[in-house]
Amino acid sequence: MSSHPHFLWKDLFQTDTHDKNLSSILQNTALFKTLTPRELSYLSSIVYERIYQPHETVFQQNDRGIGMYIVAQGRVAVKSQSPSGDILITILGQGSFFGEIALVDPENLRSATVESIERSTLIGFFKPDLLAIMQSKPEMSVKILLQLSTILGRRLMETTDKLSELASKVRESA
Amino acid sequence: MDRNRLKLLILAIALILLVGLFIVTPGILEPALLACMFATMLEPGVIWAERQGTSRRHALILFFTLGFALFSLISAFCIVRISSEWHALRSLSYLKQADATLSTWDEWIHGILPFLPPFANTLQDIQKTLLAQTPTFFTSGFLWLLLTPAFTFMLLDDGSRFLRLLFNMVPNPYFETSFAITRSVLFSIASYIRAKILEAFLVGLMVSLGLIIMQVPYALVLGMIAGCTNIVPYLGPLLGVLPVFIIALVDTRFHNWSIASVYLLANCIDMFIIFPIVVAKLVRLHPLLILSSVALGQKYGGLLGMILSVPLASTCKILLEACFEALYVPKKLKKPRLTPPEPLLQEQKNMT
Repeated sequence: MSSHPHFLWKDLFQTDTHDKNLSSILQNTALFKTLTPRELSYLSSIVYERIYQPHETVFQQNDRGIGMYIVAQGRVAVKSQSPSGDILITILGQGSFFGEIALVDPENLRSATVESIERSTLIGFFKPDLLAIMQSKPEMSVKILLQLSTILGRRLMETTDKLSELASKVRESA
Repeated sequence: MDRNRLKLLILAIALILLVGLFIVTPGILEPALLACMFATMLEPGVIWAERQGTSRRHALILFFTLGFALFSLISAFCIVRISSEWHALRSLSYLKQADATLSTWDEWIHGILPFLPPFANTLQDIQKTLLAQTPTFFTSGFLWLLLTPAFTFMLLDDGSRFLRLLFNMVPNPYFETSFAITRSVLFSIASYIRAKILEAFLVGLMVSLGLIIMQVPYALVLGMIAGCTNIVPYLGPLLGVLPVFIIALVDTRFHNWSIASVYLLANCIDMFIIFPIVVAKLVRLHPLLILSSVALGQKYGGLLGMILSVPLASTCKILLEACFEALYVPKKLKKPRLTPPEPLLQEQKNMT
């Protein structure tokens, strides 16, 4: 993924080199780092590559979502809607991923809004494909789900730490 | 023009061209539909082979080799008998003779029920109506034999790639919704086709075995017809009995209650055991809606329309449900709490 595709339909006519690039991007993502090259090659054949223009919305908070995105190129802003306006939570760059809760949440409601800051290439991995992997390649799905639960667990711990920090700050100020 | 609108326009043109291809060349529509059916049936087997560590293409080659071997074996043992039974049935022209018998009853029946239409040529008319819009259905056998396995192989091997190609054309704002709906529709149709074919096979097998045990002539052909017609919801069992009724009007060997009991038993087992277990869970449509869709299918597509009516109705239902959910269902739903309830939190606060 050395340069942005310029032609409107470039993503329709991909070559082997492109697939190798895609595999290497997927391998560098925490969720898929335990997969074998063969499994990565299979995964790169089922994920979707989407190109977003600057300020184009990837998804809105409370939208029904069905999968996660990996930032292959560019940057995206994660925002949360509040009565006082949008709050910028973070900015994600190349190699980061978001929306992974939709892979396991049965109600699939997005918890934040994501918008591309610049022209970005995102790789989408969706729940129906994860379910298909669980059926046809159970070993591969176990690896993905284990990584997914580790990531979700770690994010929960980080959130708990942040909350404790905030709570102690509030107590101190009171 | 806006980039997303341009993508939407190109997608629409691609879909129209695809549908147009099937309309302009109807010869490939039927093998393609059959291929979809076979691909749906083979998919679980291919997934099972993939679970064992075989690549998809190797699994397909293995399945197709085994399939051809099995087809040749069945042909060697059954086709001769089925074709001789079929020719015997045709040569006796039961339909004309049955119509003639009905015509002789015309005067007597109209004396009692004058509002009924005349019976002359009724059965031949029914046959014409059923098969009118599907004239090539059973005629272009060679083309079918050639194209169906090829389409099936391509669908199983490249079907997902073709779908990806279509999804890549979908503009970003509609991508996730269209992806979710399409996957849901495909899953629903595939499950329905698998369930109906299993049901039809079991009914055909039961009728064939029952008639063979009763030593009834044309047992295999009649069983096959009962199985095939069973695919049509609700009306199928009646259509399956029609050939026996026609033959019984002419042939005294069919004046036997045991034949009726075979059909009755097979349909009862289907109605009370097979249908509730295998099919009913998959088709969550009201019976009235199913009957209406079958009637509409018959009007616009003949026998093929009747068979395709329920999957199409099911697709419409999924699309309508998605629209309803997007427009009317509130997005913030109450989720059951996983964290401790409020009183417990208050207690913890008091402790600190």
